[in-house]
Amino acid sequence: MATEKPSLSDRMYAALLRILPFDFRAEFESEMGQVFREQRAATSQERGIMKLLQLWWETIVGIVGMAPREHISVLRQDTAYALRLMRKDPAYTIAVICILGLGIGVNTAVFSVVNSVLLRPLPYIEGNRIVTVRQQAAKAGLTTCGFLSRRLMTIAGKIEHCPVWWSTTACPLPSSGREKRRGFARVSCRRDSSICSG
Amino acid sequence: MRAKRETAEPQAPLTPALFNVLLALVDGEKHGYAILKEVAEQTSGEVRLSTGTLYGIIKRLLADGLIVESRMRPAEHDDERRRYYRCTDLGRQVAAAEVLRMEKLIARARAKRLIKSLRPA
Repeated sequence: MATEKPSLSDRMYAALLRILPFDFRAEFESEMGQVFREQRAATSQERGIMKLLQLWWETIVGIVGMAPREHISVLRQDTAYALRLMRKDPAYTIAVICILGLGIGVNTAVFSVVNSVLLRPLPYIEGNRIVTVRQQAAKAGLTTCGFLSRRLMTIAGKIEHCPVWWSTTACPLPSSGREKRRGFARVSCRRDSSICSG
Repeated sequence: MRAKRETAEPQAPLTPALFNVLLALVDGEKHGYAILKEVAEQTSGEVRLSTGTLYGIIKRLLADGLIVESRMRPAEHDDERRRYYRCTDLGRQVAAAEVLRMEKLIARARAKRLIKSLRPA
């Protein structure tokens, strides 16, 4: 038997019912649709369009008003059921709680590390423009390095207008050039001392 | 599923809509639309139930064991998709208890001559 195509009103009513909990709809949806169809037919025949609109309004208000109550009712039932099950098997409940606690704890710890190392900006003003100044190690045989820490820091600070972090880590110079650019920080090198920027 | 009610003594007064639905089912099986019509007629349109309100009440009454779904079909050529409901003994007791509660309330109001003063001239 061919099924009758639902009217626009039926479809609108079905859409309205979707705000109700699934269990409620599973039990009463088709019946509610049928009753509303009968209500609509009787109202439009006997009372006219204004009463039909009033029926729609009352129906919408009724369903929107009852939806939160039904959701809370379902939530309360589910919670009570879960608590009953938990009380029934305490060993299993404790194991599940421990696993959940451990999982949440590890997840939180990993996120804390990732957040502070990778995601959160450095605790300086314009931390993304910070530069590193390194002094060439004299014993590495690459060049003779002077000690220009304060001066270079001042230069770099003037160029970039940001704090400069000073380090004495050894760093090879490019053989062809007298300066090295890395990222956006650029600091000139001198014969008696050299720096790398990064 | 919530626990079924075991005593007829209502913990709180029934709401007018719920009481009217229960009252509509006291005298026999009815389907949803028949309940809506009877409540509207019996109250002269003062209590108008939407389908949402009606089925919310039906769900609660079923859960409390005050009504049950009935397999009896009053009309022979009735739509098979309709579901009929009827009042249980417990439902009758709860409705009767509510009536008694209201009766006591009316008696108190009468003793204070409130009802007479409210009657239309």
